[in-house]
This record gives sequence, C-alpha cells and structure tokens, in this order.
Amino acid sequence: MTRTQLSNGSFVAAIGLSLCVLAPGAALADQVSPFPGDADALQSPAEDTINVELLVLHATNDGKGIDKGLEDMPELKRPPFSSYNSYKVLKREKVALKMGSSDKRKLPNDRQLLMSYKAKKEQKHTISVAIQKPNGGEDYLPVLEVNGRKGERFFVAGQAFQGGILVIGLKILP
Amino acid sequence: MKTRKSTTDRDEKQSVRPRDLMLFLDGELDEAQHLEVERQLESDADARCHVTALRFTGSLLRERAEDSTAADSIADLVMARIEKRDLPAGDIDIDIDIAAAPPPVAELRNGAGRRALSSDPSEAARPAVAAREGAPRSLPHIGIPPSRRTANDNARTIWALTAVAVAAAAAFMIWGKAGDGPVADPTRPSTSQLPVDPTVELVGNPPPDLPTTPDTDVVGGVEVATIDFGSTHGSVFYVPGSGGETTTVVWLADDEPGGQQ
Repeated sequence: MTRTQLSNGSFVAAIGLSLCVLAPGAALADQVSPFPGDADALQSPAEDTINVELLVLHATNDGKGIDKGLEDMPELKRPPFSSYNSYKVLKREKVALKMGSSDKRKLPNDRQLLMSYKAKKEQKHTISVAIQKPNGGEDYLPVLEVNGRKGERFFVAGQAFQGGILVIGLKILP
Repeated sequence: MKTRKSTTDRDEKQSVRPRDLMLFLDGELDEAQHLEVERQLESDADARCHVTALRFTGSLLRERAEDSTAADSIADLVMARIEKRDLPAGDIDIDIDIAAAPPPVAELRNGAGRRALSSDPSEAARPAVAAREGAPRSLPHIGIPPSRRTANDNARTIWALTAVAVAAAAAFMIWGKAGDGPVADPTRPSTSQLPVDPTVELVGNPPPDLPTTPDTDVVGGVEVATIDFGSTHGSVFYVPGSGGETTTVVWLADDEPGGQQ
C-alpha cells in the first residue's frame, strides 16, 4: 500500500469515525429539553392557585390614543390592534384562579367572562376562557383553552362595544 | 620441445592483434595493413570469430544509441506533420502505433542474440532497423499498462467513497440543524397566507364546532390548546412583542346587535 493510499484510507476512516461520534451526540441533543427551567419545575411543589391580571380595554378610533398605563404593550400599535388608534382601560384587576374552579366576571357589554384554571404541566398553566351571553343561549365564545407560562399574556378581542370593540387581556402573574 | 614449437606455431598464426582487428573494422588501417588483415582472417577462424563479435557489439551499441534519441524524434515527427498538413495543432490527429515503438530491452537482446549467430554479423541489427524504417510515420502508442490502470481505479474508488462520506456527513449536519429548528405549526399559515402586515401571523378561521388543537408550542407566547368559536367567526394572531416574544390574540367577529351596548 502506497503512502497516498494510506492517506486516502485515513481520510475515509476519519470521516467514518466522525459520523459515528456525531450521530449519537445529535440523538442526545434531541433529547435535551428546550426549556432550561424544566429541572426546577420538576422540583418545585405543585401550585393550586395562580393569579391573573384581567385587563379590559375599549378600542376605538376616536383619536385619543393609548392610555398611559399601556406603555408596556407595544403590540397595540401593531396589526390587528393598529386598526384602532385609541385604547382606553375599562377594567384592570387581579384575579386568583384556583385549580379546578371557575371565576366569572361581568364584562362592560353585560356578557360574562368565565375563567378556569385547568391544569399545570411543567411550567405551563392551562387556562380556559369562555364568554357567555347575558340572556342565555349559545355562548359567544364556547371554549378557549390556552397554555402559558407566568408573565405571558394573551388577548381576546372583537366584541362590539360603543362604536369600538372590547379587548380582554389576561396575564398570568408571576 | 615439440610442445614449444607447437605453441610457437600457434602464436605465429595469431599474429593479428585485437587492436588491429578493431582498427580494421573501423577502417582506420592503411591499405597494406587492411589487405594483410584480410589475408590473415581468411586463414584464421579465431580472428574471424573475433571480428564477428566486435561487429555485433558495435551494432548493439549503435542501435541503443538510436533508441535513446527516439523521444526527441517524437517532437520532430509531430512538428513535421503539422508543417506538412498546414493545420492548427488542435486539429492534428496523431496516430500512435506501438509497432514503431522501441522494442523492450529483453526482446532486443534475445532477437539480436539469435541474429548474431548468422554468418553476416551486420544482419544482426538489420531487422530492428528495418522495422523502424518500414513503420508508418506515426508515433509509438502510449498505452497504460493494466497494472497502472488498476492502481488508478483504486484511487478513484477511494475518492468516490470519500465524496460519499462527505455527502453523508453534510446530510447528517443539515438534518440535525433542521431538527433544531422550529417545528411547523399546523395552525399557522405559510408566509404566503399572511395578512398585509408580515409581522402578524394569522391562523385561519376554523369552521364552527370544530376545535382547533395545535400540537406544538408557540415559541415565546401563549399556546392556544383548544378553541371553539361556536357560531362566531374568529382568527388567532401571533403578534410580535417588545422583547421578541409573541403575543397570542384571539380576534372574534361580533355580528350580533346585542353585543354592543
């Protein structure tokens, strides 16, 4: 075997060895959790109650702009919120949700906002929301179930109200 | 004493010295000496054998000397052909014939050795020269010996395997990187389905009474696990926030007059 053949053979062997080494590493990398706090979540005690911030806004195009208490929500200036230029805070309150029970709040349009803390899996909390009509009948929003971490917020918007719409924000408080 | 006389007689018969024989073959003797050597060769068999051996040796040397210049004659032949045809060099069809190639040394030795047994030593080199003269004006065929071809094929095989291994490594790398990327969310539309503002992602209206159940997480935002719009139409938006996270927005249509107070 010549020196060139030895060199070629060594090169092929090196690539094969690299594949053998890298493939199990890639497989292990796939098993790594994308959430760095998972280990802490597994060790923390189960929480039965979470606090959520209920925010009810009135979105209109009356040109008054966005209320001062809403500076931390730049998404209000982006679509689809940007279709309204004024956001006024109608209600802002802290609600404690206990797992397995529901809490009901009356909206400015007399509909009922039903909130439930359904479950917790790792760091995600499952919250269910429904909007019921005041006069009974079919719910306006029968089911909305979301999974979110503490500090995250989601919105339910679109109900017609006094020339604008209602925007309901729910934030899972830390 | 008789023995001595016999030896003296033999010495007298071998009066032709080897040096004189070489000069005789080279034609460097004067006429008288030349005739004298010829006369002695007629009567001296040993001298004739010596002359024959010298001629054969000389023919071998001349032939090898001509062979050593064969490579130089290749260029001369090519140029001569170019000039003869008056064509550009790229159009020259060089016909290479192995028959005109210098014979291998072993073959030359054997053939010449057999010819050297003939009575005329000058014939020893004649067949080789004749073959060269009778050969077509072409160049020796440059063929690759089978052993060389095998070695080259091995090298190609090794390089082909190397290329396959590199391609496999690249495929593994791409596959690994693709696995690290965000998983396609079946509830999210493709880029072509986005509304006018590309910063907003829209999940289309599901039909009534058909809950939408995403299978994967929304990176940095609240995940919509289940939604039932009922008789209402709605959409799910993922709006980029300030810190790079996304904010989930469920946007409902409200066509009922009773909804507005």
